[in-house]
Amino acid sequence: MTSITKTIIHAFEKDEGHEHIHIPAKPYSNPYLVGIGLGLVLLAAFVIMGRGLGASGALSTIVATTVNTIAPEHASGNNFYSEYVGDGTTNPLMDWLIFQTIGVLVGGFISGTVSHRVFKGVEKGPRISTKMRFVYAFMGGGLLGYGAKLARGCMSGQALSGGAVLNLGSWVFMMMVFVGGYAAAYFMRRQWT
Amino acid sequence: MKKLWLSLSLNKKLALVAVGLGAIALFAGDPYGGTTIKVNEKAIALSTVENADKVSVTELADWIIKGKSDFELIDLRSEEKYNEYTIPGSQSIPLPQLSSSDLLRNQKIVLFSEDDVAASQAWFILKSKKYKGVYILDGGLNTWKEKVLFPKAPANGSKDDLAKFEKMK
Amino acid sequence: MNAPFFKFEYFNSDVSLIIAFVIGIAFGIALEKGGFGRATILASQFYFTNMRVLKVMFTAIVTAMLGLYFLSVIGFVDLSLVYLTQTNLLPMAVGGLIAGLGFIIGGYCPGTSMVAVATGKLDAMVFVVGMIFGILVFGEMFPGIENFFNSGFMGTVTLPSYFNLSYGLVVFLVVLMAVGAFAAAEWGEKVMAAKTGKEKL
Repeated sequence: MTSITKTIIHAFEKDEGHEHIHIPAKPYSNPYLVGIGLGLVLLAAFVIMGRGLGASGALSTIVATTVNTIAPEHASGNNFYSEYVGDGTTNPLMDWLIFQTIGVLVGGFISGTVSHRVFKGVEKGPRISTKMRFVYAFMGGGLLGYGAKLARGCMSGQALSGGAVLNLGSWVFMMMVFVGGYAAAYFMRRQWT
Repeated sequence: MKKLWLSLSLNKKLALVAVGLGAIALFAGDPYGGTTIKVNEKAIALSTVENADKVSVTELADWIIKGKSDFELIDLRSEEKYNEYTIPGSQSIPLPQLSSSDLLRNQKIVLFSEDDVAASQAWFILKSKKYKGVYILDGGLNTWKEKVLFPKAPANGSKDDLAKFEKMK
Repeated sequence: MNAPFFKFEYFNSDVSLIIAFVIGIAFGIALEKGGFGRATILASQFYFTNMRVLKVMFTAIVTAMLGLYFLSVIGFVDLSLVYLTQTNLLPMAVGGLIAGLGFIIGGYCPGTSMVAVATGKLDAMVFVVGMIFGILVFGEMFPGIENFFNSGFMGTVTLPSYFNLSYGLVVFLVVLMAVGAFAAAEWGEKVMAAKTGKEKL
């Protein structure tokens, strides 16, 4: 319990001095039980929809639709954007993944609120400033956005969903994610430890 | 046993259940229900280049005359057509029943239909089920009729062919 | 009853959007409960101090895999109708490597960043902006890398068909591998905890 408290305090250390009523957060549950729960959600998606979960796809649709709104010729000349925008017969934003992702936001908020884990803050290790954390977060996000598009999916879509159906490309992706993460971990240790 | 089970932590119980289910999976069978086929399209495409899987009607006629019996001759047309006329020595397996037939993978199989089409389709089905010796009668029954049954004597008609024809009858 | 239900047209695509929303809520709850809304927990996977990511992820994969397998074997689910992404070998390997780098540098993956945004984490919001930027860069670069993107195409390949093993055998091997990884993870955490004297979160 003390380490969670410490981390919460750390998260505010370089902050502008916001006041927060400090309610200790509930500890996290057994990871295997959580995994089974997540697996059942995934299974439900397979059984009901015949597809798995996803995350990066929703963002891609939004990006592509925005580009298309601003510069339609540019978007239609580009195979990546045009695939997400579609042929104009359906609204690209009425997309399964977008609705699912909105659900994730809602679900995360609900669960966080119930467990008193919703608060404004910055997740980082003790040896780094908030500013640097933001720089790294942006860089990491950029890499992940790029890599996920190259691999046609992210951890949710490829690793989790593709993994469960024993898709070869998904397992290759998953293994390489671990390789990349562990390889760069040494260089990023100041950010996290 | 029950005591042993109860003494295990939750995590170990979960692990045992998982491994148990996995072990059952070893014997539970094919989740696709056996209707899918794995096709190595490259190999199949390559095997067509040599035309090694074709048998000409004259070759077949030759084998029949010589009394070769190391191959199975399959008539893929309907049973009615089979009863009307068929190439001597053939058995009737209409195409829709090909999958459930008892043809063996190591047999030499010669397929024919009215023309090449059904035979080619059947060839693909059998090849993708890893049958090795599958052959298509080039031109099918139509060519058989044309060249073997009612051949028009070629300009420099060979005595051999006519002799064969006589033997066939 | 036949599954997947949508593929057998038990409901139309408008209803499927509602279902997407509901499934998303469940997904978000599961992720948040798992501690995945926090970059520090996600990152500690790569320092062996907290192996939650591996445990939750592989448990989820094994659960869904076993569920799907047995439901297919009894004929309830038509496995051939379940969506399988195509495999483009090299792009997916390279994309995975890049994504892995992004994971440890950014501290999130797309799904978890959403959960973190929902629980108020500012760095997650920056991460999402970064992702949008990354996708944009990819899109703009796309004409140039389109060939690479489509290279290594292998159709839709599963592990069983690639290694020419029966599906059930691969299921069994995956379970074994996962349980083995869990055992190693538990051991790794103990070792790290003893070394640093820290409690894990």
